[in-house]
Order: sequence, then structure tokens, then C-alpha cells
Amino acid sequence: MVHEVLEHDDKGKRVKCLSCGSPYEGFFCFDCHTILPISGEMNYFSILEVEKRPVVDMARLKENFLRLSEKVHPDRYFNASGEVQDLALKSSSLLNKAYSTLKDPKERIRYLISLENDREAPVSKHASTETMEFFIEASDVCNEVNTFVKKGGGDESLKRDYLRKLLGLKNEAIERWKAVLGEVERVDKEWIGTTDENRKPLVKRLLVLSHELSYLSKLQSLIDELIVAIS
Amino acid sequence: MGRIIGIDLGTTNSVAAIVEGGKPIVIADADGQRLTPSVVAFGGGTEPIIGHNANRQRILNPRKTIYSVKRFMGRRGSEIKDEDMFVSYPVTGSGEEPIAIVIDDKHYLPEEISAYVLKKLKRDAERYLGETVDRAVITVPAYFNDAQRNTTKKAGEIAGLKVERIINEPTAASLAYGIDKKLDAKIGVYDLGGGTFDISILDIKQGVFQVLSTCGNTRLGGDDIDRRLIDFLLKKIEAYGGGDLSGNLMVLSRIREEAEKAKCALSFHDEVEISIPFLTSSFSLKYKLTRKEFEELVRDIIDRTRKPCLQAMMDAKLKPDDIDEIILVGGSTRIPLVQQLAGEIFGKTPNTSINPDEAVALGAAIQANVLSGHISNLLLLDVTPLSLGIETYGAFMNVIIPRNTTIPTRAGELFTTAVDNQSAVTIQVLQGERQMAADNWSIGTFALEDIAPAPAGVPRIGVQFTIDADGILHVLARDVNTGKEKFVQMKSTIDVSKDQVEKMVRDSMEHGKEDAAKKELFDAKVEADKVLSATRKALDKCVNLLQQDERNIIDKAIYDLEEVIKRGDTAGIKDNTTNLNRATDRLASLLLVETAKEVVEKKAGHK
Repeated sequence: MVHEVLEHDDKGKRVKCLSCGSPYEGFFCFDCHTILPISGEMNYFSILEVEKRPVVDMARLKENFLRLSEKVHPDRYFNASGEVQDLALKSSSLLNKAYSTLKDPKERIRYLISLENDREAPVSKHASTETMEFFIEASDVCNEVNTFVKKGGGDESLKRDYLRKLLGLKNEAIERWKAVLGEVERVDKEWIGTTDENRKPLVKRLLVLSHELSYLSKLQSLIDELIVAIS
Repeated sequence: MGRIIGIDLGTTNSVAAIVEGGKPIVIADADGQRLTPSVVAFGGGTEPIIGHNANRQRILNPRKTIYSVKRFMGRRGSEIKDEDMFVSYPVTGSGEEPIAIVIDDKHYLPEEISAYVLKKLKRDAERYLGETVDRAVITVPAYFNDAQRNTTKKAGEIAGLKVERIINEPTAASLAYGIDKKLDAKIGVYDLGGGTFDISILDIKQGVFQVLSTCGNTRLGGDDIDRRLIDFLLKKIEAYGGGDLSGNLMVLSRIREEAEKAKCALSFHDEVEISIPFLTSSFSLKYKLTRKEFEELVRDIIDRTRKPCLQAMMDAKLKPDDIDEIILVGGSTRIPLVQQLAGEIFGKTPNTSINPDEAVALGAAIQANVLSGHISNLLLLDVTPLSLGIETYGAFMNVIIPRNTTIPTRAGELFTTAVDNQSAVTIQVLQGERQMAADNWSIGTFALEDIAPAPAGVPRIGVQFTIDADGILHVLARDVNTGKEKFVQMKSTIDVSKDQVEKMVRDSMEHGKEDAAKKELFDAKVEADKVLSATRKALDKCVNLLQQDERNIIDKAIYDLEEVIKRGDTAGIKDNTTNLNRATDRLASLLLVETAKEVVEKKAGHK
């Protein structure tokens, strides 16, 4: 994966603050309020100070993101040297990437799998038969609506009918999404009591769930797009 | 270093502001005017007249009075549709060249015209502050693309201002709205100005103004409403026996002025008497326009703000009920119908408590103070409005940074070569949401050069795309094998001058025109072959699902492409490849469903 190649830079070797000499982790020295090159083996979970596991506390995640953004955002180093400004840009970008990855269940799980397997989670064309069948059913409706929209979409009653159908599909997609997240939570419960070396079966289960989520999220954005187009 | 002022460089009016004693205030000019019309009039003297005085010339000197130039910022000739050309001054430009305004045979770029407005604001600020002003935060519509942002920055530089930050107009307005309120809320900012529409949804918490999503239309605003009203009045004039006056610039300018006045009056009155004496020597117009008639006339224009609003809510994953307040900004939100529609979309009475003309400039001044370190309990986290990507095989756009990603942001992509010993790779960078590369805005191209000779696929060049806090793109390339890094100069497709283009063409001719042409033909053929074979595969599977007319279109596109390949016509191959791609749009989605079905069937079979 490409990001890996480019982000190795961010994993500097220094563990002492360049400014006051205190040991630090992450990219900010809270002793002397200095922004620093990122230290040690950080991952998105440790950057955002949450536990590395399938489910995260969303409120805490957000709070940490905002608090850390306050510290490392380029606006805070506007009059600093070019080197420090560059650090702020790097750290802030990394923080944004970490947050956007962890707040989205699908991205978070894929990222967790990539950490556990030490390589990017594979993309699969396969999901469960139920999900695939739902995907096909929904795609057919989406195709129909798409044709209707492309032809100008004048017929008001047909339009209402399609909109109702789309909203119905959207709700179903959301319900299915929630059901998968329920499964993720079950894996999460087992995760806590399992040692690193015994997690392989859990990671496998997560991989299957991540494929379900991929299908459902693709479908949701397809439906959303059409809802906007037809409204 | 001097103080940083905030500037709202608007389509119709511009405003400068500064924070004094902890409060943002608008800087008035010597005459006490707080808004400066974004109008530049060339006439008698060597220097043009700017602002209110220029506005007064509009009727007398329509061909030399420049207004609404923001619509042309960062746009290329080919982008100007006829409807946009409806300004009273001559505009030129075609194809890839930037748009220019022609005054007395001299060409002015839109950023040069904007710079005149900025210079006046700078002078007014200097007079007010009694010190030199050379730094500014300038606002742009949230939905502005990379080129439009860069052009705005350039306008600042031409005016002698260091542009310390470009911020988005609705976000700026949210700062002005929320600064003293200790808000913990989700708000929508609906910003309908003279020429642009933006909707931004923000989550405000602990002094952090975090934009969740933004959407808009950079060709939608009060100007469009005026034009609709002008066309309506022209028809009335003709019907009442005044003849066809649509070709008379001076008369048009008078009608425009009256139309604009009527529009404004109808925000406060139920009807207005439009009276324009002596449009011709024998004809004067009198027409009573009711608010109801006006609303019917412009409803579809205002309704065009609906979809961006729905899109923004979808992207923020919020429903109308989740949004606490909807704030109105921009002069056009004074129109009752606009307020009504915004209320309808978001399911609540919109908040009209902030001054719709001044809020953006005030917000820019607040951000200026954040940057200079005077305000430390406030932080703005904005997003990039458009997806950023590159063109890939099959003329598709491959998204690298999706829209509504919080900025600053960085993303990497690895590139390699397609042919043995290839020494350079050219990459096209795009912005937009469409699937086909050609349907998106091309930011420009960059070349990865001096690649050491190696078999195809072996070189590995990492390219890092950074969108900074201004929302502007920077590209850094690194040879992964050697670790050598360099900033890549993007060749913007619009800001290259004609002379430069000519020089580039000459240079390329001297440096083996043939080689380049051969390479281009080779690339085009490879590309075409890929699309052809993908199409054939898809047809094998899904041919029965196509309508006969769809099938005919695809067959014709295949035939045409094969013909140009035989002829070795590079441009033809490229065009026809794009055509075939378009023709097979539906085929591709059918194929996806078919593949899914197969997988299901296979699975069912296993059971």
C-alpha cells in the first residue's frame, strides 16, 4: 500500500523532545508545548489515544481528535520557522487521516486487519449470499431510477414512487449495516480477552465482516446519490 | 510585521474587516461606505475607477465597466458558456487559454481586475489604520476549485498583499456567527451571493469549528435572478410596442439597474412599480411587478440550491432534524422565497441574525487574528470541497482524496512505467465527482522525469499529494528506489500564457517532435486496446441485457475506434476511446451486477 511507503518518514527515531529533552510519544511535547517529529511506532489508534480494537468509543475519539488538532494544526504555528510549519502540516494531515479512518467502522476494521496482518486487507468480490442478493435487488432499482433521471424524470407520481423505494432500500441497508456492526461488537468482546498471537481467527472473522460493510457502504452511497438526483 | 486584514472579495460587493479590541469590525472607506462594489471602470485617466464611482458609470460606459468578474476567475475559454458571456464588456478566450477582458485592445485577466478592487480595499484599510497594510486573509466560495483559489491568491499578490490564508466564505461566516456564543451545535450555513452558492455543515464544539461537508454551485446567484428579470422586462417592452432592445448595451444597462432595484424592493414590499422613462425616443416602460409574479419567474433558479443542500446533508450523514440552526449569508438570502426554501429544506425557520453582506469579511478578520496568535481559543477545521484524483486507464478518474476530507491532508500513490526503458511518466490531475476523467476539471499535468532505464513496471515513484490549509494542492515525487525527492511543478492548463505555450511548442519540435508523437500514438493505442478488450468481454456476458439501440451505439463506437487505430490517428484514437467509454457506461454497471449474480449462483451451487 502506497501510504505506507510515504508515511515511514513520520516514524522518526527520536524519543526525546528537541526543545526541552523530556521523553515524548506521538508528535507533541506536552511539557513544553512543542510540536515534534512523530516518535516511535505509532499507529492511528495510538495517535488518537484509543485502544487498538474493533470498536472504539466514538465520543472519546472525537474529543481526542479535537484536543490534538488544537495542538498541531498549522494555524497554531503560523509565525514559526519553515521547518516547524512543515511538521505541523505533516502531523495535522496524519491526525486527520487517522481520525477519518477510525471514525468509519469499515475503514477502521480494514485498518486494524492491516495492522494485525502487517499488510493491506484484501478487497474481495465476495460477501454473504444474503448481502449479495440484496445488492443485486437494490442495483436493479438503482439502474431503473438512473434511467428515469437520465431521461429527464418528469413524471411526478413515478418520481414519488421511486423516492419511496430508494428510501426503503436505504433503511434496509442501514439495518443490515447495524446488524454487521453487532457482529463486530461480538468480535470486539472476544478481542479483549485474547492475546495477540491467538487473534488470527478473530481477524479472519473481521475480514469477512469488512467485506459485508464494503458492499453495504457502496450501496448506500449509490442510493444516496440517486436520492439527491431524483429529489 | 503589519496587521492582517480580512477581505471578502465578492461577486457584487467586497468588504474589508479587522479585529479591534477583540471585536471584528468592517473598515469603511473615506465616504463612510462599508461595501465596495466589485466594479472597475476604465475611462478618462490612466488608472481605472473602482467601487461606487465605477458603478455609476455602468450605464454611461457599459463596455468599459467591469463587474461580476469573479465568475471568470480561474476559468478557461472553453468553459464560458454563452449565458455567462452576457456581460456588457467584451470577454475573450477559447480552448485552454484563460479568459481575458478586452479594454481598448488591452487584455486584462480576471485576477488583474480583482486586484484593482483589492488595491482600493488595501488603501482604505491603510487610511483607517494609519499604517501600511500588506497582509490579508481572503475568502473564496467553498466550492471553488484549485485553479479558482490560486487565481484569487494571485489577485492578492498583484495588489501587493501577501495572502496569508484563503478561507471559505460560509466557514468565515460561521466564525462571525459563533465567536461569542460558546456554541456546542451543528449548524448549516446557506450562502447565496451575487454569483455563487455554497452550503456548509459544521459541528462546533469547544471552540473548534469543524466543517463536516460542503457543496455548492459556483455559477448560481443574484446575477442569474437579475438576468431572468431583465429578459422578462425585455419581453414586456417588446409586447408593449417598444421594440427589441436586447442589442442596445446602454439600454440594457439601464434595465439591469432597474431590475436589480426592483428585486431588492420586493424583499420588503408586496409590489413595486418599475418605471424606466425614454428607453427609446418614443417609449417609456411602466410595469407593476408583484412579489408573486417575481417569485414564479425565479423559482426554478432558487430551487437549484436544493440539491447541493441534500448532498451536503448526505455527506455529513445528517438529517434536517440533526441540524440545530441554519444560518443565512449573502445578499440574495434577503429574498423571502430564498428564506422560505432554505427553511423548507432544513425543516426549521432560518436564522437571519447576522448581516448577510458583512459576516464573511468579519469571519476573515477573526481568522486573521487566529493566525497572528491573538485568538487562541478558536480553531477552524475545513474540508476540500471536490474529490481529487488522477486519470487512469480507460480515461477514468481514480479518486485519491475524496471530497469533504479535512484539510490539511496528504495521500500517496505509487507510479511505474508501462514500457521498457521509459524515462518519463505524465500524470493528469483532476478535481470533480464524475466517473469519466473528461467530465471533471483538469487541474493540470505533471511529469515524472529522469527515470533510470529499467524494464516496464520496475521503477517505483511515490507521489505525494498535499492539500494545504488554503485548499491548494502541492505535489511531491520521490523515487522509491533511490530515495530522491523533488517538488513537482504542475503545468496548470490555464495559467500558461500564449507566448509560453508557443515556446513550449517550439521547444518540443526541436527536441524530437517525432519521438513524442510516436510515444503518444503508442500510449493511445495501448489505451484503446484495453477499452476494446474490456468492452468485448462485457458484451460476451451481458449482450442480451442491452437494448437494440444501445447495442447499435456501442457497435458503432467500436467500429469507429478500430478505424482510427488502423489509420494511426492519435487524436482520433483518443476521442474515440473516450466515446466508447461513454457508450459503455451502462454496460459496465450491468457487468457488475452480472458478476455479483454469478458469485451468488456459484455459492448457491456449493451449498
